[in-house]
Amino acid sequence: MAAEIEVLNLKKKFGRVIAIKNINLKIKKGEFLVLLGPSGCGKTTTLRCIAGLEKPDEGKIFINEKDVTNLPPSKRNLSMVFQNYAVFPHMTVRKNIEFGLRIKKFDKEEIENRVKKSAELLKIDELLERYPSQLSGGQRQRVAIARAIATHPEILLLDEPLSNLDALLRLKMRAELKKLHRDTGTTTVYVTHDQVEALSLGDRIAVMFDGEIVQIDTPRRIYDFPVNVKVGGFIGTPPMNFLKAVVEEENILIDKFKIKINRDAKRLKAGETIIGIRAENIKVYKNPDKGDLKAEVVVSEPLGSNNLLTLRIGEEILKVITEPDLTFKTQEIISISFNPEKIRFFDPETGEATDVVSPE
Amino acid sequence: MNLKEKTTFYTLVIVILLWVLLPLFFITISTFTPQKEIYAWPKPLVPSKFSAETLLFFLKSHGVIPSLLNSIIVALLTLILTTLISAPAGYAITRFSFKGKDTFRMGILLIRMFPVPLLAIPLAVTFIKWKLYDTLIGVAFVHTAMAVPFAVIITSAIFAGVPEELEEAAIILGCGRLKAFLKVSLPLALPGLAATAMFTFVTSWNEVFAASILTLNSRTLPAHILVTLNASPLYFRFAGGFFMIIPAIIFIFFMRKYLFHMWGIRAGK
Amino acid sequence: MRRDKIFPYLLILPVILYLFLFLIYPSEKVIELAFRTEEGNFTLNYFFQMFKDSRFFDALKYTFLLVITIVPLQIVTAILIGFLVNKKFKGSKMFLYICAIPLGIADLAAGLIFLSIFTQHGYLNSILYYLGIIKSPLPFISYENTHFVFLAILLAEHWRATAIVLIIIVAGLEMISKDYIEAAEVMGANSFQKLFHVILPLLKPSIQSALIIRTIFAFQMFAVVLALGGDIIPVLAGESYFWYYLYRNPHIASCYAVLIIVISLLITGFYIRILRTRYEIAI
Repeated sequence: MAAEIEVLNLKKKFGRVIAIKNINLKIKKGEFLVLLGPSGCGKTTTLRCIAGLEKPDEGKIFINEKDVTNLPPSKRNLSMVFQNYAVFPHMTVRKNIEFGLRIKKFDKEEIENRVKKSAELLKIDELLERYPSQLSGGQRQRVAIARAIATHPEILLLDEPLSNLDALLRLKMRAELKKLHRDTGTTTVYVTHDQVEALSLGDRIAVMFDGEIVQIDTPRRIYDFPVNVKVGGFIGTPPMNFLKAVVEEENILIDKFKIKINRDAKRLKAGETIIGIRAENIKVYKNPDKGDLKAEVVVSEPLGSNNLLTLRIGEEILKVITEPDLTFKTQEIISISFNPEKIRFFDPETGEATDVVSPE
Repeated sequence: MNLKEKTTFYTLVIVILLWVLLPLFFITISTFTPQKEIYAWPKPLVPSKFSAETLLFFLKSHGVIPSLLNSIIVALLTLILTTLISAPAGYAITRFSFKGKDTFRMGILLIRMFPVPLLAIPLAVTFIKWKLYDTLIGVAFVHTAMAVPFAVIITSAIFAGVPEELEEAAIILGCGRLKAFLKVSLPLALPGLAATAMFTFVTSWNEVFAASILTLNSRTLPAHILVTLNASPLYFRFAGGFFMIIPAIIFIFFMRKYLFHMWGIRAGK
Repeated sequence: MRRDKIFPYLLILPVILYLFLFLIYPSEKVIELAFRTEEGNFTLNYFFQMFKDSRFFDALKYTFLLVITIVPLQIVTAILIGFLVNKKFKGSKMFLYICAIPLGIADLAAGLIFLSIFTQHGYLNSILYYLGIIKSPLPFISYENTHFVFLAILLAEHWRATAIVLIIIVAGLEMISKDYIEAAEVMGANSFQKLFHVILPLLKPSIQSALIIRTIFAFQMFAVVLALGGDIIPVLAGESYFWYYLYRNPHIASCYAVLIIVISLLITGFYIRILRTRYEIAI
């Protein structure tokens, strides 16, 4: 069972602080949607409005085309996993998982059945009689998720569920969450500020800034075609490089270097622009004359699977990823070329993308 | 909340405010009611005129002013003794780890509940031998014994609120440990310590059992009111009650930020 | 946290010495006074004298009656006010401060305050008159009216000492993460279920400590009783005072003191046991 969610013109203020400016969002049946943004962007408030824990000032929320804006959380057939897990400390793991089932008045057999199933799914069936204080953070997390899915909700809401786990555990839980979603097919809304999590988990990502959704698309397209400088700068490790440039017919000028772009340059306005290029789309040559642009090595950081170079071209700084065997000295002059397919153009005033925007 | 819930909610709030404040209102009004009206039937809920007559009668009654002074002296002595004895221990609990610390803490928490004033009975006998009977310092000694466990818990909570890193930063910057304490922890803890002192003052000011057992002539105000209770007119008692609550109200005003420290709740976790 | 061999012990030494001198030593003395004759022989005579006193069983009865009525009433009142404070409405902080005022008020003063209400010349009679309920003042506080004197003492002590319970409860409520309540809400719990399955169980440690602290202090109740009822209602601490102050008998006064101390210790022992079984609050 899965539900479809629609959020229409949602607005919410806390005192004078605007948490959500205006949000419109449609989440398909069974979809895994990630709300991604820096802290204070309104993503958690949006989630809490969907849950019914927060009442929006304006706007409507529909679940399966039914207006639920004024319904309490219990009438929305959804479950939620909280950032601090909110596993009741005075109940055993079993009692915790049973809690929602008992309130929904399932019969004894069914309760036992579901507790067993969800505990097995989350691999905590050995821990059922323990109290939360006897569990590790990761185990508590599993209890919280088991408790949430035991009621077979149509919607599963997760509020930064991995942020309190250590790095290794986070990686493991991320994969498990993805598998869980595939197994249950529940419509899932997942809030995070971690763009890696968002990219790896989401069917679609809604990127939020300052109480608004600025882009909503598949992870791939958000990564390749950010709608503005902010999104490009927020997503990806390292984030997208931005350089001042000038468009001249079929060429772009960066510092004093000219690059030919084999694209229909007429679609681009001549004049000043900002180009965006991701670190992996830049080719590096040891030979300072081989590439299109000359650059100076500022820092070289070996990261194991590859090297991260910080380069300087004139006044601009950019990050490039190279193969691990290539070593560079500080202040070494090298040359680079951009993959012209992957260059994005942004308006220097507004920061909005000026070339192709999500041709979908 | 919908309208009905809101109405119930605020009605409850108002009922509780009335419950707390009406008795305080009545005792205040009593104190400023002319003596004749105290015994009037029916008594007006607000006196026909406000008069200082009752209050002056109280203050001029035999023994009131001396006992008032005694109360202040005993409370100040208690405050000084308690602070000197407890503050170092409170500091030790928060800043050091040492063997037996948990036992000490637990012991203090339990002793806090010990009925100390009752010990005035054996102490009265001992104090006669020690030449402390009927002295203010003797009363202050017992009051200090009452206040010390509380003060240790409160001061440890106060020092716990001053990050140790700040003190360590001062040490790194070249202060000695004592100087780091005096320059960093103490100033930051000062408002809290002042509130602790207030608490100690009020504890002593309010105590009546030990104060009346241990004294004959140098009575504190509550002791004086208690032993003259049956022999004094109503308006004397009302004015006495009013006088006793003044420090309490000032105390709550200054203590309001530290209300929770008082029972060591924050530190107790 | 620093480690140091001697320094912390030096810091706690004054407390230990002081409490030894003014707590352990007199505790030993009080036992001596209760169990030893002037000549220094062991005796139970003082205790027999105490038991034989006509007021002893009344004092015991009333003390226990007061404790078992006041303490639960205070807990319930404090939880109610605590919930109101926890709603964080406009002015809720001010509301908490006002409710905390009695915290600083002496038991004697509280007795006198309620005397101004319940005495024959008090405000209650006048209010009843203005409401048209009575024509002439009723003698609420008199030997014929012990039930009412008891009630007046109960109300005065309830008014005075609820503030302490309130502070403990409010602190306890504040430690309950809002997430727990919201989690229950999402799972469909109604207000009743939230209260009884989530909030109260989580508040249990606070309720327990408030319960024990108040019980022990209630056994020392004394000045409220004297200020309101004189000797109409005998209580244990009051009898101790009378035996020392009026009848000049430190031995029997000590017997009462020992009795109260023993009761307090028993309750404290109970307290420690409960503390041990308490689950740890986890995030």
